[in-house]
Amino acid sequence: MRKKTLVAAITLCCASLVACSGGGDDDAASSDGPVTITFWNGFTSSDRPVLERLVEEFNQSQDDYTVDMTITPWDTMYQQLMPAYQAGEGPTLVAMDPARLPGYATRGVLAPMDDLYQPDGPLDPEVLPQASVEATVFEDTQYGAPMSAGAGMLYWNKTLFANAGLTEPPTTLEQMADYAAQITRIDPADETKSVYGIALPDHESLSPWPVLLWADGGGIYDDDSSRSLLAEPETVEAMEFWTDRIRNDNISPVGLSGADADALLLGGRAAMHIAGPWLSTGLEEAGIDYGVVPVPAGSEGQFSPAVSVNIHLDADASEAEKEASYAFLEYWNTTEVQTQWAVGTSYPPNRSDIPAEDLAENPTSVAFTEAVNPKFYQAGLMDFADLERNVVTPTIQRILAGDGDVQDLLEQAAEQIDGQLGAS
Amino acid sequence: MSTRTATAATVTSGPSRPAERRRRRRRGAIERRRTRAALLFLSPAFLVLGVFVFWPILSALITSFTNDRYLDTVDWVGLANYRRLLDDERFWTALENTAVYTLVTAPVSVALALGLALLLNQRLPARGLLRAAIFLPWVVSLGISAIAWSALIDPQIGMLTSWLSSLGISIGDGLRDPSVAMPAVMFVGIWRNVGFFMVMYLAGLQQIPQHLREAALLDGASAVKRFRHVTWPLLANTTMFVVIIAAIFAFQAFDQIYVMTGGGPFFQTETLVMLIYGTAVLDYDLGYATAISWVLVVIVLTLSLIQMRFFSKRAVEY
Repeated sequence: MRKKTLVAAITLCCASLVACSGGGDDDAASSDGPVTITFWNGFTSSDRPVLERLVEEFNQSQDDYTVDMTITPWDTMYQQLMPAYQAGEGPTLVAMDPARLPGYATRGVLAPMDDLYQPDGPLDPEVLPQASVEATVFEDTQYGAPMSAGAGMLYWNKTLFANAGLTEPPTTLEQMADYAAQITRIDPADETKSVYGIALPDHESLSPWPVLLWADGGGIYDDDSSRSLLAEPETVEAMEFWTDRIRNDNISPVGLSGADADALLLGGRAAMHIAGPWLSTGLEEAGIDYGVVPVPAGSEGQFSPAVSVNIHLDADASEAEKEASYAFLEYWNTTEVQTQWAVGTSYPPNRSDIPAEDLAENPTSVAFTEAVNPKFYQAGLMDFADLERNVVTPTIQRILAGDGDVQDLLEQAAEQIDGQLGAS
Repeated sequence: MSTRTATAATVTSGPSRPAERRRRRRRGAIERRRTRAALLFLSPAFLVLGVFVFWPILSALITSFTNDRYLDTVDWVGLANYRRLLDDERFWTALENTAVYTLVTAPVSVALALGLALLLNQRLPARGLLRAAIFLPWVVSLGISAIAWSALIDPQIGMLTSWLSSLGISIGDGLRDPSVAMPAVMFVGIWRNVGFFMVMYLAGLQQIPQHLREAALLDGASAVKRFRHVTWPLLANTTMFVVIIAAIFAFQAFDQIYVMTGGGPFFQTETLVMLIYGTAVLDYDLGYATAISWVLVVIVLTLSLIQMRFFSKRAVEY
């Protein structure tokens, strides 16, 4: 009896230990099968099926490598990525925004990829988007390869413009604000019937704010990321202008996320919105008669928000995994794949040597190659995401909600950013 | 415990000394063996608790004295993270939001639950259906129901917004409006928990002996008096449990806030747990995040102890 009790207890104890322990090393490739690499990204929009098809074609095209792709919304992916890398469970390849690169590279979770563009390397930097190639360099080390690049443009709803007696899209930011005010129709009895001239999101989006500020001589960070430009007179003036138009003319709802703004445009409830190519398919499906033009010029210049997603390699990747990853990157940046990607998603192709007539099937893709002066809103800052979430976004939200004086709030934010930049 | 009592009882009965000693030794051996078996059987649970509960708690305490940011170097910074809390406006806003959230949602949900339990403890048509309907939000994932609520009260496309508009009620910018966001997440929190508390109260009500109520009725006590002098005092244990759990739930509020407002606009709905989450998971500031976690642990523990002391004095048995 005693013995039985003891054996039972020990068995239970062992069973729970086994249950607690994690699975085996399941990502190790067996010596005779194909090498499997994992790939995380956030292409959840209409670009998803195109990406899935292209990855599947890569897997079918050869027997040596398999890409196991996981697509989750970008913010969910970023929440899981660092803990996964810290636990040694991160993906072999991950696609991310260049603004995120410094935070990950500093923490040593991404592998240097300096051999990518060497003469015997898989990629030719000459045909790839120069801005993306540069954006994947951190502290003189190459950390990634371009996956997709483009720029945000101004979408405009032709029907809503026509309803307000307008036929042409705006060419200056002041005109954009005026047109927006003319189109806006607030229904005090039922907010769900109001129509807005423009949808200007302030979080979880391709932010329109840096572009609006750059165009009038202001900005959020200076070009070498050493200090904040939020308290500069040009920034304050531009911000006061937009605050006045939003609060007094109601040209845009406040506090919108990127998805909220997309929904307003898709529902025919907003006439303008600055967004990337991913919105075009949805608009076509929703039957919206729309046009795409470069973001209008301000008093000091004209800019487009650059969009770039690059692929990075896990610092713990084995030689075999690295070889598989490079094979996939080479495949991804071939003329055929990039043509299919551009035609299927409206992103401009990653390669400069694809003639426009090859994209004729999708005119939006051609339109997106015409963005004026694309500029990255990323400061090469380790704390970029932190500052954006904790200082820049809440400051813009407070200003637009009328929670204080524009100048005071911008000065406070600049002080906070400068303090943190100095500290780090 | 029962073995010990039995041993004590044998001692007092007093048979001859050597025989008693032998028996005691035997009993002691049995007791030791039993204890050992019990401990062995408990060890898997202890192991799981140790690995998944106690070790993380202790490990978090150690991290709170460091500047861990997932970087190569981690330095011991002593109480620096705790000192930083004192001057951090964001922390105080989150603490205030948590306090306001708790002070509103805990009493309101407990009072509503009691009212609903009293009502649904009576013979009513479709009583089972009503009970199930009120309990349902507790069973559904809060993350998912919060998404549904966000869509319902969306200022531009929300169905509820449209209905309210037709009644002449405007919710302005909805969840993006700081004056609407907090009441909205509180409402969803109450809506979610009230069914669970109601079930607790129903169980409490059904434990009250019928004869006590009948006696009060025969003595001519009014409904209010019966509630005040019979039902309410006898529900003291249930109330203690429900109030403590309600306060703990409120201090841990996260899901619907994360989904509906993300703590915004400009931190107006950011609770302590939201702040901990953002600081650790999004900003990688693990040292500071664990320091805030420990402050939360101390607050919840202190509050629970005070509540237990307060209610245990009021527990009544007839």
